Amino acid sequence: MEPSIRSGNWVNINNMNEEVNNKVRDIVADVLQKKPGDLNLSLRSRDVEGWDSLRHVMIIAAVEDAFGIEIGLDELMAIESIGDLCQVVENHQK
Amino acid sequence: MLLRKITIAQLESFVRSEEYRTMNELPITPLRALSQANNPKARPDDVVLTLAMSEEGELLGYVGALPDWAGSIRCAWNSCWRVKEGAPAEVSMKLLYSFLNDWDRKILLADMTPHTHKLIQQLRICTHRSLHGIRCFYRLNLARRLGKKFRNRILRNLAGGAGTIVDGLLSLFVCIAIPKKRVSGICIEEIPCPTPELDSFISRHNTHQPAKRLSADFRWMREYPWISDREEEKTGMEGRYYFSWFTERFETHWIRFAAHAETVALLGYTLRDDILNVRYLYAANDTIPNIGRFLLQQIRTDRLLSSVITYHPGLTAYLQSRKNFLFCRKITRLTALSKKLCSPDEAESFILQSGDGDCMFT
Repeated sequence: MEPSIRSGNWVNINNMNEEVNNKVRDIVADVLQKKPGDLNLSLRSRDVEGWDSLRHVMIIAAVEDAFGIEIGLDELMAIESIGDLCQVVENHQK
Repeated sequence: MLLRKITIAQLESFVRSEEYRTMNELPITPLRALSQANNPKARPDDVVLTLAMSEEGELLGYVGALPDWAGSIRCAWNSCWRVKEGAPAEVSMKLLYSFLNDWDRKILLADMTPHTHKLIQQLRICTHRSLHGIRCFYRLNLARRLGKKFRNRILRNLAGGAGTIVDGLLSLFVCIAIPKKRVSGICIEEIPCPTPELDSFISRHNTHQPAKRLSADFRWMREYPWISDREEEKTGMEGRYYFSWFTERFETHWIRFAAHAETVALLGYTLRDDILNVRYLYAANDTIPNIGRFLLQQIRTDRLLSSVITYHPGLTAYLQSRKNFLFCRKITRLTALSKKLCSPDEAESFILQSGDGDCMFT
């Protein structure tokens, strides 16, 4: 299991929708100009070279567009890893 | 990482605290805290400073707000946003999101860096506007500039001497290029600050400003600037603050132009070191040449001034057309206004003046 800490709770990334995970990972890879295979869901911005504040908002904007959602500020505050972002997308799709 | 929010009511005790005195980097100065505490448009529970702290208690970054009103809507200008070098993106983003959350995304930005501009554009919550202005150079003040460049006393004196000669020649140039001339047919009066009697005049000329300022705001700005030129106020902590705190010279001036005892224009400008910065101008278009002439006379008589900055379209055009400067540079200011603060129609026409936000304070 590849855990990610979010708001003090453990989130099981394995239970998350594979399709969402892949799509989000592709978006992050595209914005950061990395290979999707180099990114795992527990990666945080601090772990990835080039993931600065501008790229961060570009990722959020691209994810919102791709999934047709609007991520709230409370949710944005809680996003620390790619897995967190996937979880937020999934919550919107429920 | 922990976010710590500081309200207007807590600011003054924060800058007096032991914690503040021992911080490696200061997130605010006592001058700015005092000014914020006296903001006539703020409420005691307004969050005006958010600190990002590491678990070890180290300051990682901070974001500041300047409360205001856009009509009947509470809003805030972003007054600062800084993160420690090398801090991860999540620090700056959490600070920004926290600021947006505290102010329900009703924000204004008066002067963004290109990086912040791109970032705010990506958020898609603001209407963006670039202010196009001009900086005209009339002198170079080389003696002052060169004198500071060298540590060696002999070199410093030589450079200072050479600078003085060039400055003298340039002063001669200014006297020839800007002949002494009285602005005729108009009464010019320096006032300490706009009075409530001038509010109706200001209101007639600020219809497109989203956060309108009147005499009470200008009085507050004059009484509580964020920058000091009083050497005796230095405490040794200045090096620990990133933004401006002390300068050699900082003055705020207000000029009323009247014809037949009626106010026809109101000009507010700051003198910071050797720059005259036009901050507010409320005037009909036909008075602009008189204001331009007045500013040129200021340049002529105040030998410490080297350049004038304005973003006012009429003044920009006037100064450019005179061609009596050494050289000039086109300048651009990046501003933004939350879409929550204006209708789509208003978004097309909103105007920010150069002094808006926290700019008049600095």
